[in-house]
Amino acid sequence: MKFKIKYILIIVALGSVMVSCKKQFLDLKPPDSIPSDEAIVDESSMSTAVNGMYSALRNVDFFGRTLPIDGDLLADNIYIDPVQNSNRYLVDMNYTYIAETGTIGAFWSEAYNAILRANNIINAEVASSPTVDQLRGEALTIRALCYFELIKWFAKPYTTDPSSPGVPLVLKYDAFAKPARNTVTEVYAQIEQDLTNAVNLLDAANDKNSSYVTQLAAEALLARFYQFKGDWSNALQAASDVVSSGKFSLADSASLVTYWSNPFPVSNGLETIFEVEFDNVNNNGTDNLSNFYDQAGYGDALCTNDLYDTYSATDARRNLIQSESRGGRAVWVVHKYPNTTNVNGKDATKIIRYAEVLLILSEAYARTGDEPNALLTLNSLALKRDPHLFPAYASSGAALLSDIYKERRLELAFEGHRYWDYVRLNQNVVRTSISQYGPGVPATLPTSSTRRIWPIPRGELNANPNVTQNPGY
Amino acid sequence: MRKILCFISLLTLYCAPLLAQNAITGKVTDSKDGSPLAGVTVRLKEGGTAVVTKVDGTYQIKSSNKQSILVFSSIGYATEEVNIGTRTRINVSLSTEEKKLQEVVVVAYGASEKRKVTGSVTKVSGKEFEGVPMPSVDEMLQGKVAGLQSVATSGQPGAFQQVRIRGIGSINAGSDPLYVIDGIPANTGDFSQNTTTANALAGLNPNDIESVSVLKDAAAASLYGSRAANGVILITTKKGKAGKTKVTFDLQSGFSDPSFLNNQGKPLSWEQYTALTTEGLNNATGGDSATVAFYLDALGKNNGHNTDWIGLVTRQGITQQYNASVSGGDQRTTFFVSGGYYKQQAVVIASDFTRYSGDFNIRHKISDKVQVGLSVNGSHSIQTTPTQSAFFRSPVLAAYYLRPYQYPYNADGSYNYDPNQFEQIFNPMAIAHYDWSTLRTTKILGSLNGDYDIIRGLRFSTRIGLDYLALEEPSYQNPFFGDAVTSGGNMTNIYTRVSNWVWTNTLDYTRNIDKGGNLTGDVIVGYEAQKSTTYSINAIGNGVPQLTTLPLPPTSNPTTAVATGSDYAFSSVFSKLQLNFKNKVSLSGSLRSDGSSRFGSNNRYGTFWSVGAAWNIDRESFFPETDYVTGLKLRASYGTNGNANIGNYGWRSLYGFGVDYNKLPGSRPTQVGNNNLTWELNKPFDVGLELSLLKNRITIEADYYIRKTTQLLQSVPLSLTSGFGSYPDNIGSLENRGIEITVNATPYVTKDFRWDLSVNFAMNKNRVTALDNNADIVSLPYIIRKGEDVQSIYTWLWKGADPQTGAPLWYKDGTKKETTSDVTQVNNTIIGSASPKGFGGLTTTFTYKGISLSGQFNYQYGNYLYNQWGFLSESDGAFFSLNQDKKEYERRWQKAGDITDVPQYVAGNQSGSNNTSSRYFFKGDYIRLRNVSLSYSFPKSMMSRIHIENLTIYVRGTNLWTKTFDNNITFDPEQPINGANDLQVLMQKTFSFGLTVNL
Repeated sequence: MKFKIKYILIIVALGSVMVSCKKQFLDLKPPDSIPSDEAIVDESSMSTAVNGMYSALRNVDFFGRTLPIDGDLLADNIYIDPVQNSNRYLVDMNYTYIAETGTIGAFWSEAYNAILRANNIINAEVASSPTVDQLRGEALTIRALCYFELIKWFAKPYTTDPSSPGVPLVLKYDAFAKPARNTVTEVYAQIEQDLTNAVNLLDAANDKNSSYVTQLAAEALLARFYQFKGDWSNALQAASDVVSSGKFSLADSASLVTYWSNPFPVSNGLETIFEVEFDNVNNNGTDNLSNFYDQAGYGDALCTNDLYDTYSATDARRNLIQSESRGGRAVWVVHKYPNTTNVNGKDATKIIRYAEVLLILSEAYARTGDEPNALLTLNSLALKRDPHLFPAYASSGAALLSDIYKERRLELAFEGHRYWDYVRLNQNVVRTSISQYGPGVPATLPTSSTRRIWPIPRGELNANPNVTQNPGY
Repeated sequence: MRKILCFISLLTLYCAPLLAQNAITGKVTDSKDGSPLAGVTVRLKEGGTAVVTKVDGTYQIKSSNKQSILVFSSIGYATEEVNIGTRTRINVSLSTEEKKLQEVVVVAYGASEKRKVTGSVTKVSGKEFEGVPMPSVDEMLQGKVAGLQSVATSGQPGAFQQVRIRGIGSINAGSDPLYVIDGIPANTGDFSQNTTTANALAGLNPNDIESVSVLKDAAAASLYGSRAANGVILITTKKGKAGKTKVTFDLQSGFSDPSFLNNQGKPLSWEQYTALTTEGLNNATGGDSATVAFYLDALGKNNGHNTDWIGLVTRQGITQQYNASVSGGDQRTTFFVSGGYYKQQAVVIASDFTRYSGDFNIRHKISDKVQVGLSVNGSHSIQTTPTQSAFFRSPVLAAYYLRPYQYPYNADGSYNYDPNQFEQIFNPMAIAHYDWSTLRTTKILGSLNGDYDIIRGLRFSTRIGLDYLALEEPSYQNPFFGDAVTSGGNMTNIYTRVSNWVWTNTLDYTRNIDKGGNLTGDVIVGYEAQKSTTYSINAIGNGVPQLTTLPLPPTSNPTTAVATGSDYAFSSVFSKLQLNFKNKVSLSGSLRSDGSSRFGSNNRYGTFWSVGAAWNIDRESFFPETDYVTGLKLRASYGTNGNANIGNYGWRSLYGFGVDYNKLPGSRPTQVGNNNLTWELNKPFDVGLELSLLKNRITIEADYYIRKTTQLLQSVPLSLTSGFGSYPDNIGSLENRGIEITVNATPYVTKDFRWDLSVNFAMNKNRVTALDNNADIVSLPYIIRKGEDVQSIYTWLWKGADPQTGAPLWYKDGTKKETTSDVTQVNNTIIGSASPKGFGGLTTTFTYKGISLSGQFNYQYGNYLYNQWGFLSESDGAFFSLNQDKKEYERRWQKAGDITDVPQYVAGNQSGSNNTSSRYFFKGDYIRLRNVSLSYSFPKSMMSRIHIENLTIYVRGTNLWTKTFDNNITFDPEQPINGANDLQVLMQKTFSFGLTVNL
C-alpha cells in the first residue's frame, strides 16, 4: 500500500513538472491581436492592413476636421464666430500657435502614424500579384499624400526655398530612430517617386469606389503636386491624363446640392475622385467636420461676406451657403456637409475632385502659353456651375490667371485649399471681411511672417534632438 | 537467503529498543476549565514517533530508558516540556495564554513559531473580522497592522479598497500587495468594466477567516518571488477542529448616516444662495437691478421651490448580516461549514450591496501518513452603484451643485426632468428611479490538497486551487432624458469571467541535524504553476422601448458586439532553508525562480532570493533571568523580490483590429513592445526588534526598513516620426524607508477586570531616485520628480483675496516673496504630497467579568487632500448657476479691508481665481473612532442550563467620531490614495446591534 501511493505521487509530481515546463505555457498571446511579424503575410492580411491605413486618415486632427478647416480658416474663406464658439481653432485663426499647441502635435503624430501603416504595407514581404500591386500602389499614394500635407504645413514651399528644412523622411519602421529633417527638395523627390510608382502599380481597370485610391486618383494627386511645385509641363500631362480618361463627370447645376448631400462613396465617377469615407459606425461623433459647420452642432465656422459676395446670383454653388440666425445675428452657414444627424451615413472628406483637376489643367495650359485650351477648360467648369454665366471667361495673361484663382476659390471653398493658393503663389493673405473675425484678429498674414508655417511640435522636439525648430518659434 | 538475514538483523536492531520500552499514558486538559484537549501532539524530545491525544484527551506513547523529556504541543497553546523521570502516567494541562513570541503564525508556504521567524510578519486574528458591518476584509485591516495603509475609494459598500504596505512601490505598475487565500494567489482588484467601483475581495465573507498574516520584508515575502514586492497578505479560512461539534449563529442589524458632513462643505440654503448670487450679479453688472432680476428669474428664483438636494440624495442606510457555522470532527476527519447573508445600503440613494456566501471544508486522514482536504468558498453578490465624479448623472454631484430653486417633482407628483430646468446636471431622483446599473458577481474559491508523510520529517504536499469570478453588468439609461436621450436610450450588457488555477507541489523536510536536538533544519522545495484567463463579452445597443420596467430591455440598434480576452501564466521553482539552533538563533534563506508570460522573451525568468537571521537574546545564557525582560529578539533580513503587475502583453509588438473602413475590417500597429520588458525589482532591507516585558504584560515590536525599487516601468518617449509616441521600458527607481512600531500591553489586570491596549505606528518616506532622462513627469497637479515623493503636488501657491480689491492673489513662486493677480505670472511649486508621513491605530479594550468595551482609533497625518471639483462650488462666481458651498458664502470678500482667503464673488468671474492652486488642497490629518463595541456575554452557569455554550449581545459602531485638523476641509478625510476627492458615494458611520450564540 505504502509503495503504491509513493509511486503514484511521484508520477503526479513529475507529471506536473512536465505539463507546465513546456515553453508554450508561458508564451501567451492576446486573443484579439496578432504579433507584428505575422500581421501582413498574404493578400488578405495586406488588404486588412490597407483598410486600417485608410482609417488613419479619418483622425480629427488630420483629414477628419483640422486640415479641411485650417486650409480655409488661415486664409479668408471662413471665420470662427467671435461671439459664441466652442473655443476651437481660435489659436489658428489668430496665428498664435506655439510648439505646445495640441492640434498641431496631434496632426504630426497622426500623419506619421498613417505613414507607418503605409510603410509596413509597402515593405511587407508578400509576393507580387495584381491584387498585391494594387494594394501597394494604394499605400504608396497614401504615403505620398501624408508627406505632401506634412511638407506643406511644416516647411517653406518649394517655389520659395527648396533647400530649407522639410520633414524627416521615414520609409521603414524603426521605433528608435531619431531622424533629422530632410530638405524640401528631398521630400518632394520622394513624393514624386511614390506617386509615379503608384501610377505604375495601380491597375487602370480597377473599379473600386471613390473611397479607395485608383490609378486616376494617383494621377490627379500628381497633378496637384506638380502644380504646387510649379512644374507646369508635368502638371499639364498628369491633369490631361485624368481628364481624357473620361471616367469622371461634373454634376449638373440643378443636382449640385444633391451631390453634396450624399454621404456614400460613388462608383460612377460623379465629381469625386478620392475621398475619406465616414459611416454611421466609424465617425468622429461631435468632432465631425459637418458638426463644426452645422448650427445644430457647434456651428463655429461661418462663411465670410466677401466670399459669399464673390458668387454670382445664379451660381449653383451659392446654394450651398444659406443665411441663418446664430445667437440672434444673421450669418452665412455652409451646407456642403449636411449629414450630421443622418443615421445611415456621415459626410466624407473630399481629398480630390474632378473640378480641381480641371482647374489645375486650366492653370497649366495658361502657364504653358496655351490660353485657348485654358479658357475652354475653365469655362467647361464655370458654365456647369452657372449656366447663366454671361459672358463666359475670355481673359488672357494675368487676368486669366486671376480668373482661374477666383474660380478655384468659389469651387474649392470649405475643402481646405484656399490657404495653399496664397502659399504657392507667395502672396500675402488678406482678410477682406476682417470685421467679422472679431477684435484683435490679424487682417493679414504677410509672406515675411514666420507664422506662415507651423512649429515642430514640442513632443517631437523633446524626444528627438536631431530635429530643429522652425524660425520664430 | 541473504535478504532474510538482512531483514532479521534489521528487525533485531529495531526490536532492541523495544525490549527496554515503557508505555506512558496520561491525559491532557485545558488549564482554563479542565476540559480535555484533543489533537494535542505528544512526542519524545529526543526523537521517535509522535502520537496525538484522543477526543477525551488521553494518549499513550512508548518511550525507552534513554528518552527523558516529553513534549506536548498544540496550535493555540503554549508548548509544555515535561521530565518523565520514572513516571508512567503523566497528566498535563496546557494554557492558551498567548505568549506573543510563542504563538504560531502562518508564513509563506507553511507555519512557524514566532520565535523562529526571521522576517517581518504581523498576524491579525480572525476574531477582529467577525460581525463587523463592512463587506470585505481589506477594509477591516485599516489601522491594525503597522505599515499597512488601507483606504476606501468610496463609501459604496463593496467598493475597491486600496492597500499599500511600506509605501508606494511603483509609478506605472500596480502597487497593490499579493493576496494569497489558503495558498492560492488569488485574483484581486476591480474586474468590473462599467461599474464605478467593485472589489473582488468583497466576495469573501470575512466571518470565514481564521487569520491574516501580513508579510512585509524579504525573508517573509520573497518566497513569492516576482509578485512579492508590495508585500503579501496571507488569508487563512476557518477549518474544523477535532472535538465537540461547535455551532455558531451571529445576527446583526443596524443603520448608518454620513460619517462627516462639516459646515464648510455643505451646500447653500435658498436664502444663502439667493443672497450670494444677487451679490455676484450686482458686482458683475454694476448694480443693474433689472438685469440681476432677469438672471435670478431665469435661474428659477421665483418659482416658489426650495429644495434640500443633499437631504434628498442622502438617506439613512440599513445594514444586516446573518452568519451561521458548524464545525467539528474527530481524530481522522474534521469539517467546517458556514453560510452568510450580508446586506448594506449606503447613505446615498441607489447604492447598496448584498451578498450570499457559503464555505465548506473537510480534512480527512486516510492513514497515519496520508491526509486529504477539500475547501470550497463561494458567494454571490449584487451591487447597485451610482456614478461618481462630474458626470451629470452623478447623485453626489447633484447633491452639492444643484440650486435650491430646482425641484425634483412636479406638482402632480411625477418626476421633473425638463431639460430646460435641468440644463446640465440631471435630476438625481429621476435618474435613480429610471436608470440603473447593477453588478452581479459570483465567486468561487476552491482547493483540493493532499499531504503524504513519506518518512518521518519528510512531507510531500500537493494542492490544486481554483479562483473563479463571473461578473454580469447590465446597465440601463432611459430614452427620454439624461445621457442617452440622443441615442434613444441605451442598454449595456457586459459579462466577464476570470478564472485562475494554481498547482503547487512541495516537499518539506525537517530533521534534527545533531543528536541533542539543538540544531534543527527545515528545507522546503516546491514547484508551482499558475494560469489565469479572462473572457469578456460586451453587447451594447441604443433605441430601447419607452416602457422602462423590463429587467432586460431589448434594443433596436445594436452598436457594439465585441468579445475580448486576456491571460497570464506563471511557472516557478522555489526553495527555503531554515536552521534553528537551540531555539535561540534562526537562519533562513530562500530562492525562487519565476517565469511568466508577462515578461519579455529576453527576460522570461527571474531569480529572487532572501536571507534572514533571528536571535532570541533572552535565551542566551549570558542574559540575566529577570521578570522585567522576558523576551528579546533581534532579527534582520535582506533580499530581492519583484512586482509583476506590468500588464499581460506589454512586451509584445502587436497589430490590433477595429480600425474599419467601409465597414470592412482594418488592422494597424498598436504596440511597439519590448523583448526585454520585465518585472520591477524590489530590494528590501529590514532590521527588527521584538521585546517582551514584565512577563509578557508588554510586548513591543519595532522595525526599520529601507526598500529600494528599481527597473520601474516607464513610458519612454519615441520620436513621433516612428508612428508611435512611446514604448515601455524598465528604467526608473524609487525608495521607501521608514519605521514601524507596535506596542501591545495589558496595563491593568485583576481577577475580574482587564485593560488591554494596542498601539501601532508607522512612518514612511518615499523618494524617487531615478527617472528616464531625469525628466519630470508632470500631470498637473501632480509631479514625479527625482528626489521628491512620488505623489508630490505641484501647483500654484494661493495667498487669498486682495484686501483692497477682492481680487485673487497668488505667490509668484515658492519663495513667497511676491504676490500677483495675473495668472500668467504664477509658477507651480511643490507644496507637499498626497502620501501620509505617518499613520496607525490604537485599540483599547476593557473587560469586566462578561462585559467588554473596545474602541479602535485610526489616525493619519502629513498628507494633502485635493478638492478636485472645488473649482465649481468655490468658483467666486465663475459658475454662478451652480450651488456653492458654505465656505464660499461665509468667507467671501465683500468690502475693502476684508482679510480673507475667498475672493470677491462676481457672476461670470474671469479672473482665474478658481484655477487649481493650493487653495483647493487641505491637510488630511485626522483621527477617527473607527470601531467601538460594547458586548455582554451571559455567564456560563446560566447558559449551560439551556445547553448553550455562549451567548453574547453587543452594540457596535463604526466611524462614529472624526476629528480633522484643517479648518478648510470640506469633505471626509478618508479619500483614495492619491488624495483627490471625486464626488464619490459618501463614507458612512454605522450603529448596529446584534447577538452571537455558540452551541
